[in-house]
This record gives sequence, structure tokens and C-alpha cells, in this order.
Amino acid sequence: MAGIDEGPTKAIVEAGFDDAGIALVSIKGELDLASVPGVELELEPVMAASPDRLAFDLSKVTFMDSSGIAMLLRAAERVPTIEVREPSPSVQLIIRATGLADVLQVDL
Amino acid sequence: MSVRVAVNSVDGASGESVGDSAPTPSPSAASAAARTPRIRGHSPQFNIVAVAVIGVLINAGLSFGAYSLHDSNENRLLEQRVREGAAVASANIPSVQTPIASAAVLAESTDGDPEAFRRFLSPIVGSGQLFATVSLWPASGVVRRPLAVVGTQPELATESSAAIRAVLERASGQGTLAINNLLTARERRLGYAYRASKRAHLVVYAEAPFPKNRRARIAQNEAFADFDYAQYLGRSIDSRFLLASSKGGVPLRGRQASATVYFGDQTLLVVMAPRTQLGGTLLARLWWLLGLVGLALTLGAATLVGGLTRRRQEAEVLATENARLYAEQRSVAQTLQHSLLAEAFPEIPGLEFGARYIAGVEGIDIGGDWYDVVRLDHGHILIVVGDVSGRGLEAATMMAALRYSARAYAVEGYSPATILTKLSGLASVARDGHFATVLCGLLDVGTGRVTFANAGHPAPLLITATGAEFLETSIGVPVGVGRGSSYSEVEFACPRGSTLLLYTDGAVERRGERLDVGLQRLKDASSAVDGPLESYLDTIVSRVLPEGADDDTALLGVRWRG
Repeated sequence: MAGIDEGPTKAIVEAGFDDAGIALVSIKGELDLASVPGVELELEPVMAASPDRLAFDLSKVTFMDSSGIAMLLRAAERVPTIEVREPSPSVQLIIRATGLADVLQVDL
Repeated sequence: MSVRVAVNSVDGASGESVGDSAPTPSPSAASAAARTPRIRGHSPQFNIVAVAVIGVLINAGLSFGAYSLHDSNENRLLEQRVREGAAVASANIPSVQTPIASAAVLAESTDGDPEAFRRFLSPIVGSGQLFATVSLWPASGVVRRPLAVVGTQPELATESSAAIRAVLERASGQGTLAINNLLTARERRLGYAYRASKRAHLVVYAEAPFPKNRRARIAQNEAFADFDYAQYLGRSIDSRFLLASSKGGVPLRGRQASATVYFGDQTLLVVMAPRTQLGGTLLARLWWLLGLVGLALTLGAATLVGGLTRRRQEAEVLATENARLYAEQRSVAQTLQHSLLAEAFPEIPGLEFGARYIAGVEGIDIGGDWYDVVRLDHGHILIVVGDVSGRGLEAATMMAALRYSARAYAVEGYSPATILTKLSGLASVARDGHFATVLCGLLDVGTGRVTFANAGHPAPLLITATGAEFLETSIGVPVGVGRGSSYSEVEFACPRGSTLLLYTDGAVERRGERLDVGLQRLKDASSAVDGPLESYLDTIVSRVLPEGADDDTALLGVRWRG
């Protein structure tokens, strides 16, 4: 079935709060064009609560492309402060390459 | 008493009705299959037939098993009953033999007194009695007539003296009746000859009538009410020698069993056929019940399989059709994009431009990658490579807007950093959902210097005689992330004969791989080739994307002629 996406990329999203009470979203898997729409659907309840601060744990993200960056940037537009915690090497590289370390508050 | 049992089943219904009913594809079904496009997997007709055949085979097996069980059970029970029937028949023999034997003893003791003989026998001789005639004969010597007769003249008396002698001599005086078979005579009779002892001088001879349809006593026995029954003289079923039958002389049909018992100096064949199922009707019906239920299940399963197969095929046809439509749509989008990109590069002495656009295989939407070369005044050229995140019409629209805006700002005379700042005011990830990485370079044709400003885009490669290296541009935030972001410019010198390679992330990003691995691969692929720019770009593409790109990929090469 050429032309139709076969292996759907998967991302698992867990939303909660860290010890300091900051909203924390942990994402596991791949963040790309195929998975981002699903991830954003799961993010919606978190966003709807209008947190002051939102942290992403991207330590288990194995692949992220510009769609994933766009997702983080869209989140940054809605939440006053956003941070990316423990980015995996792949995530670090793409954030650094796109010059977004400051915007996304990533300590690289 | 010796009993021999033989069982022969003539029940012709064994399982044949089950095997015949396998559905075969009708001509119309076959032509329907021919109309269906060729798709993986079997046709619904094939699956229906396969399931039906397998189901029918299983059914036939089950039915045959049930039938065999029933059959052997019936036979076993029947054998048991026919032994009992033979025993009953055997027990009836004394009712014939006893009066004859008693008469023989009486005749011997009265020395053949005809009067005593008549007195003794007259109550049991005559029409409707046990015997039609009883007569007294000498045991030896030539005889033509009986010494005394009770009842009618015996048939025996009409025979030749040798024949009479042969019958009388079979009465051996050993306690056994000699049976004279007169069943083929006009009036069917059996004759019984008896001699009281070996030394006895007299033989008593009785004849009993056997009408063809005489009901046997055994048939009236309640224990055998469920059986049809026949007795033959001899060892085989021969209608001439039928003695008694519950069917009025009609041969028994269906399952039957037989047993023989001694009857005087002859044998009796007792044949029995059950009128009902000995093992109960459920067991008898089980085989065809199984067959019917199984057939119904098979039909259901075949119909279901056929339906499922047809639905799957319809889904496949639909999917194939969708794939074709998507491919068509995609190719429309690609044509559109290529028409946006494939403008002729400006003719600049000393400079050569080349570009490649590789459509990604992921998804069907148009990507947001672009490249551009804009000739400006005063020997300046603007080169731009950009990548709008995401896909689809929105991404393509943003791409077109950024591309033409960058051209306009460049023509206005803005520097690369200012162009990017101005572009960043045009797009907003919050509003559009997309952002763009843009690499903007201003070439000074005369000096061979290039000034880069970078909005989050992968660094350009400069390939010289000594190899390839990434140019350390100052990376600012992508366009659309912040309004009026500021960017820094970095200037590089490009020697004669060197090549600048600008690209989008599709050239370096690969799933399951770190970005730096992809960057290194591109660097290696770029530094190890030589030759004209066009073939150089082809080689890079074939090395970096040997199996095509996941994501859309744009490459822009600029070469300073040596």
C-alpha cells in the first residue's frame, strides 16, 4: 500500500505533577509529524488547566523532528513558563540546532 | 443346542447423503470472481468452498462415526436377541416331538394296535389341530401302505416304496425326529418320522401343514414384539422352505441377523429384523442429526467466511483506490511545489547553482521546504534555504509567504539578519501552529565572501579542496517563535573552487539515530566527491538518502568556479 503511512510512530504521554507541584508531562517514544497530533490531544487537559509552569520530561524521547519542536513552541505560547527537563541526546541536538535552548529553557 | 449367528447389514443409508452436499461454485460466482480485481488472498468463492468442503468432511467424519457406533451397537444387540429367538424356537420343538414320541412308545407297547393308536392321537389330528395326519408304519421291510392312519391319507403314502423306505429309515430310534421336507409339494407340509428305540419295530409318521403366511409362535411372544421374524428349514434363506414368518412370507428387509438351531435331523434358520432401533432412537438419529446440525454450521461458517473475505476485499479495493488517490493528490502537490522551486537560477559569471528537492515518503502532504537564489544589485546574491515545520497546505502557504517576503526584503537591501527579524514578524507559531527554520546568506560575488544569518536552521557546509566543514553560524530562534527576534551575522570566505551546501533537516535527520550521526554522514558524503556540481549533488543525494527521504529534503549547492 504505497503512499499510505504504515508503521504509526508511537508516543506515550503521562501527565502529572512533580514533587514541587509543577505540572509535568513525560513523553516516551518518538515526537514527529505522525505522533505529535495525538500527543497534543493528550496535552489538552493539562493546557486547559492553565498552569503557570509546565515541565516536559523528554528523557525517553528517541526521536524528535521539527514537528516536536513546533509542539513545544505551541505549548510555550500558551503557558507563561515552560521548561524541558532531562532532554535525551536526540532532543538536545535538535533543540541546540534550532537555537531554541533559551526559549524552551533547556539547560544544554 | 448349537447357535450360529450371522449378521448382515443391508441398511443402505450409510452416510452418503452427507458427502454429496458439498457446495460447488456456480457459474455466476465464477464470473463474479473474474470481475473482481486481482488482490492478495483468495477469492470469497474459494474461501467459501474451502470452508464448506472442510466442514462437510468433518461432518461426514462425525456422522460416519455416529453412524458406525449406532450400527455396531444395533448389530450387537440384534445378535443377542436372535440368539434368544433361536432359543425360543428351539424350546418349541418338543411341542411337536413329544406327542409323536409318546405315540411311538404306545404303538410299540401295544404291538401296533390301531385302535389304541387312533384313540391316543385323534384329539391332536385334523383340521386346525397340530397335525393333519399321523400314521403308523413298520420300521423295516418293503412297505406300501401304513399300518394305521389317523386323519387324512399322508402325502408319504403317495410316494414310491423306496422313497417311503428312505424316510422311515431316517427315523433312527435315537430320540430324534426325522424331518421329511414336503414344503415344495402342493399342500405345504412337514413330515416327522419317529422310532421309539433302535429295536422298535414301528415308526410313527406325522405330517403338519405349513400355510405360507402362518404366524410363528415366537412372533407372538411379547419379548420379540419389536422384531420381524422368519423361520426357514435348512441353513439358508429360501422362500420355498419358509416355515413361519411375521411378514406373511415376504422376505425380511433391512438390518437382520440369523441363527440356526437343530430341528430333528435338520436345522432351522431363525432370522430376525428389528422393527425399531434397538439402541434407542436418539443414537439412531444421532448421525443425521449431527450431519444436519454440522451442515447448518458449515453453511453458516462458509457464508460468514465468504462475507468476511468479500468485505476484506472491498476494504482492500478501497485502500488501493485511496492509495492511488493519495498518490495522485501528492503528485499534484509535488508539481505545485516544484513549480514554486524550479525557477531558473540567475546566470552569474564565476558562480554555479544547483538544487535538489526530494519528496519524503512519509505522509502525503506537501512539505514546507524551500530554497531560493535571488540576484541583487552590486554583485550580491541572496541564498536562502528554509523549512516550515509540519506539512500540508498551511505549511506550504507559510513557506510561499516567507519565500517571497525574503525576496522582497532582500531586494529592498536588508541584510540577512534583518531579513530574518522581519520574517519573524510575519509568522507566529501561536497563530499558525507552524514555525520555520531559515538560513539566509548574502554572497559577494566579487570577494567570494558570504554573510550568514541563521534562524534555527542546520549549519551550511563549506566544501573545499581540504574537505568539508560546517560553518559556525550564530543560531537564533526559528522564525515564528518570537516577534522581532534578533539575529547575528557571521561572515565566511569561500575560496575559488569551493562549494557551499545548504540543506534542510531531511538530509540529516533519520529515525532512531542521533542528529550528529546524520550531520557527520552528510559531511562525509560531501567531502569525498568531486566533479561538476550537478553530478556532485546527485552523488550526495544517493549517499545520504540511498532509500529515499523520510521527510522532504531540499539541497542547494553554490560553487565558485575555479
